[in-house]
Amino acid sequence: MKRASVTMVVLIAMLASLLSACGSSNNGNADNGGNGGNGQNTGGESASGDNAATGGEETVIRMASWSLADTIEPILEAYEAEHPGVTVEYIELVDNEDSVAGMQKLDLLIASGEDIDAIMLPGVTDYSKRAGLNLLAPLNELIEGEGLDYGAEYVTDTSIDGTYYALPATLENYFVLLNKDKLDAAGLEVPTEWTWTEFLEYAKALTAGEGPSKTYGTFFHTWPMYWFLGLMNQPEKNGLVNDGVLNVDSPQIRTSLELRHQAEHVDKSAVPYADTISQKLAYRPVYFTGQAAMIITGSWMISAAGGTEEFPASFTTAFAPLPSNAPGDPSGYSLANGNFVGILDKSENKQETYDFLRWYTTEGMQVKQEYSAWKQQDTDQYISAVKAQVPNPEFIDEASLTYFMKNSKSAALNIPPTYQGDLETAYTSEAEKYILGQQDLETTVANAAAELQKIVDANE
Amino acid sequence: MIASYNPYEAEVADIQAIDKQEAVMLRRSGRARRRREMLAGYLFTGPMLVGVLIFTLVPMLLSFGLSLTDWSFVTGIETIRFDGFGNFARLFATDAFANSLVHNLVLLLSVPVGMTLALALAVVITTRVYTPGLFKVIFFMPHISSIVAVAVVWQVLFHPSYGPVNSMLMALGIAEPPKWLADPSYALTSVLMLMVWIDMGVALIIYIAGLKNIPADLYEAAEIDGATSWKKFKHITFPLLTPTTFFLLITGLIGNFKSFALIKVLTDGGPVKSTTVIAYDMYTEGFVNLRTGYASSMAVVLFAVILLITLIQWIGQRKWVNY
Repeated sequence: MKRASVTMVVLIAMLASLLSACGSSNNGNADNGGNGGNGQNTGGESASGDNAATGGEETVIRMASWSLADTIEPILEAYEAEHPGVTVEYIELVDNEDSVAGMQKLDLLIASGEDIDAIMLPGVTDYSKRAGLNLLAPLNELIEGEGLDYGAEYVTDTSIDGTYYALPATLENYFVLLNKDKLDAAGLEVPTEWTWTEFLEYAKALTAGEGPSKTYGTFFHTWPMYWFLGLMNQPEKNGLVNDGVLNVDSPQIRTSLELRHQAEHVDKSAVPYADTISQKLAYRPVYFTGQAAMIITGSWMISAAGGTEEFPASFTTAFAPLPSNAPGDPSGYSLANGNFVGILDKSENKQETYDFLRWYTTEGMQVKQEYSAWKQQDTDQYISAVKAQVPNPEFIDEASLTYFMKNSKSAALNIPPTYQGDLETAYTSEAEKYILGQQDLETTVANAAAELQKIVDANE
Repeated sequence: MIASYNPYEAEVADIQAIDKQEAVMLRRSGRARRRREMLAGYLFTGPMLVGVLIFTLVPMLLSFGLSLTDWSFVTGIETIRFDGFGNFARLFATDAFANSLVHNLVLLLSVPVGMTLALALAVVITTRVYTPGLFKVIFFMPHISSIVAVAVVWQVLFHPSYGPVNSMLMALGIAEPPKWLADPSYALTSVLMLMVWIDMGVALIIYIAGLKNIPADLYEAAEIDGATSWKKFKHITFPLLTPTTFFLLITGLIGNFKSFALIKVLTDGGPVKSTTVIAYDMYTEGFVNLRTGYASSMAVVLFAVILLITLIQWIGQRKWVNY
């Protein structure tokens, strides 16, 4: 008996030491990544020491994003071929290109001290939030060191109070996708300049049928931007809050809300909001199945218009700029957004990473055939490249796309405050009450202004 | 009295001595055995205890600590800043948190409602139904189905214009039926109904088990006395099931307070924040808005509320639970 229990104790002790060994090796990894205050210095040194030992002068840049490895790696290989001595490792955050889940995964990786140099951010809200947390390295010195004239190089200006924390990769601007087959059937032209009133007339004319198979003129997705469409087409001051000043009790917001109300409740030309939220409708199936004839969307949908595996195209898609609020208003403007690439502040290879990101945001974008914020991008080449990739290029209306791309103007990039998420939630919830018939327009504007002011005051 | 002489005195003394010795040995070996048993017990429960310690207790204490700080978990430990009770002050100053708490309290209704239905069904299934096993499975089905699948099915059933529920209501002559999940005044009720439907199966199974434990002779005696079915239920079934009811009530209320998945997939807290609950707010603040300290303070308040409700129930049980 006694002997048996001794054996047992020994066994348990062995097991425990095994477990603790696993634990300590994990700690070792975390330290290498530079986790925490005291571990950071020693960890960083040992990591760079490892690199020097394995690859001589080799620099390893580690880049993370939600894009699929298959789409990014060819570009990285192109860079490595041009720049011997640099290896770019890619960390694929999610396997379904979901940028929201990708960012959550990225936050966890950063929190656990993973060794990452470059990160991609899916939009200006994510950019401002993480720059506000001081996660991103300021790039001003690097830009000056290179002698780069930022304004001549990129369309979108990423500076926050004069400091650049990221470079713009893709450009995202907004426009209207129109089902050209339905336009032709209704005898309507593809507009090159129009107002929201005309947009509503189009929507009404394109609405047909009744019941579950009804075709609606348009569909508004659940994103906050669909509640301030009248702000998105402004050349400047196009945020809910600009430089700490509220922009809610304004004609632009009233236009935005009224046009939603008119389309859904008066003309019945928009998919009811109740259906959209309760059925979690998404814009791609709604548009590609022909349930809605027009959608307001952004540049990522240009190639989708030629069909994708999941949503094949079965009709011609035309492109029109965002409508303006009133006749005579500047037209063709759209809020600019896009993917941004930044350097993590704790990165050990800032200069090398910067060089890589400069290449990635210019020539890399060309290699990847992305719609980019690089001013030297070749529009015609981009369009023909898109058409070469999609399964049904004949469904992209080239004339209207070329016209749109050559005449679209990007509004000044509005860097939202770090609490933009709170603002959008508060504003959306008041706007929802309006569209669901819980309160009238004036109450909505007044309540939203009061709620947003509270958030601004709390974050002063 | 004759002084008796016991010829076996020596032997008896011997035996007594041996007994004493044995008793000592026995006691000693008993203590040793108990120690061995305790050791074995700890060895068996050890992995679990270590797990609870590392994955539950330590994080719990940490979140208490974090609730007093202004910190985002992505920025590394060096940016942590002590903030006293600032998070709690902000928490109670916002309407959003109070709203979520109220929604939580409203959703608690689903527990007693579900239990009442489950008890009624349990009695019917055990006494008056052929193939009780089949019915057990049917009612347990929602609980073992994926929440996502359940949510999608109900989304379709609750479709505001063409869903079966509203089609039926319209056929019955209701011109403007509620829009259910898309209607700020009905969304919470819809979630509540779904919760009843999902959680009823568990209560049902446990009630059926409880019913089987009630001795049949009590019912026979009552029948001889001429008791009606209702009287039998009121004076035998219900009192003898009170420990079961108590267990279901405590676990049900705690589980209900923590409900998150259903809200996340069904409504995302909307429309117009009409279905937000504390657990959902915690998720958005902690993992979407990246405010770890603030989210932790919500966790602490949730913990306090659940603790309070559970304590009240423990104190209250003396009045109505029969063991």
